[in-house]
Amino acid sequence: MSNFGILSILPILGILFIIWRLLRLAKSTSNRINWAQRSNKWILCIYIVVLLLAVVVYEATQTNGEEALTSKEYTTFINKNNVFQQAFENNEESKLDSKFLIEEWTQELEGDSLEVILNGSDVLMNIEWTDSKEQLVEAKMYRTYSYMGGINMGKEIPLPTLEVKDNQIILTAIPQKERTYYRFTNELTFFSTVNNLDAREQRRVIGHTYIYLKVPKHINVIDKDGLQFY
Amino acid sequence: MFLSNSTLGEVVWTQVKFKVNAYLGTLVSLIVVQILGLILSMNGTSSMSTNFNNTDFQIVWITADTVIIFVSIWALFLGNVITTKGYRNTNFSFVTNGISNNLSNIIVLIIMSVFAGVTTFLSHYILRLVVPLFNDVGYVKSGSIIDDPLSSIASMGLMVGLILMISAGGYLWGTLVYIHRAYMFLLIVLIITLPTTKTGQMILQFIFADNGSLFVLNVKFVCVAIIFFVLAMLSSYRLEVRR
Repeated sequence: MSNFGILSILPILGILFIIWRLLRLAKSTSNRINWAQRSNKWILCIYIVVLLLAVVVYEATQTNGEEALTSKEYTTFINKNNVFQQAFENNEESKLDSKFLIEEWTQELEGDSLEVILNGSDVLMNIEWTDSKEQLVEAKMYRTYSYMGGINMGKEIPLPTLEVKDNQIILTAIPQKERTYYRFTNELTFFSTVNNLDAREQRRVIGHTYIYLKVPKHINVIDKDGLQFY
Repeated sequence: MFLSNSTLGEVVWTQVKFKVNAYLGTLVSLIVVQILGLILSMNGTSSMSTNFNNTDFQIVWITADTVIIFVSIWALFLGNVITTKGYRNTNFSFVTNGISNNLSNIIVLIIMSVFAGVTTFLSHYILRLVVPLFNDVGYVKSGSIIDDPLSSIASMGLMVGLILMISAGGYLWGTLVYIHRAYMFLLIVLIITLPTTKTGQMILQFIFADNGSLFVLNVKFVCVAIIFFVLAMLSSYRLEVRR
């Protein structure tokens, strides 16, 4: 057996020893002390009352918190994200689901160039070149579904800040943050058929923020960050 | 010829009542074991994380897994302990035989397994109340008894079934040790061989994996428990005379 195998058995043996000692102690205590029987009954009654109270209090107070999603809903979200991504990559603006639209604006450029500055923000962009002779740029910002473990991450985490200047689009990433959520479950992880690690991986859908630009062909789009346009 | 004739059922029932009272100390040790498991569960059983829009996003699952591991080991020793000399001597308070003794022990183990399974399930609610007091983090609404009664009953049943199976294993182990002390090392041999040998892995996989539903898994637990109890009864068939 490998060292890892031996090491993994050691904690089990440790727990075995502790519980064996506890049982021995319980036995010797009940043998030696006459009042142990009565006190045992009291301890058990108090414990049961505490457990029942915990259930009642939890049921009465759990009003806030995020709603968990079913695995069916995850599948739907993943499919909708994929359809959106496909339409975005293929420049099919009409197929972009308006449900994902966050912001849209029109920008009149002064010169013949448009500069896109990302400042660390994680945004996917696409340009549809138009035959227009005007200086107008149409822009739309979308965000697809992002859920993990029941949390709507899109709702919890703000978008990169957007600033539209004369001939610039400046997106700035939000400052680095850490968010931790706790989730309780009655299911036993190592036996459950629906809550095992693989299933949990399926309960994760990570979307993106997209910007779709409609730019006349004579405008030069400058991207100093080396942004990958589709 | 006796002044009064008792049926097997009456004898068993009298013994069960006496033994449940006599073994209350083991239930107190169960509470200690559960509290120990709850304390170790406070940091979560597993977690999942990702980075999204410059934010490290982590979800920590708090389950009853740690508590059930502790309680399962308690159940193993409970099954074993009631076959030891000290507990066997309580039988001298009764006119008894091997069958009634075994049956009463099995019923006591079933009662204690049900108690342990239900309290283990409910003990998770203590975590649900206590953990938010010590952590300033968000929470996902989690299914509770009222939200999802069927799933709760299934989980509770699974815990009872698992504890019963392990206590039955402990009972069989204790009975074998009573026959010959060499069997004392059987448990250690099993702990090492079951996960490391092909046959052992097949047995574990048959019981714990490849289950279509929790109900099937629970039925397997109960079946294994019945097999252990029957083997223990057969093993102790000729052990009525005290050594």
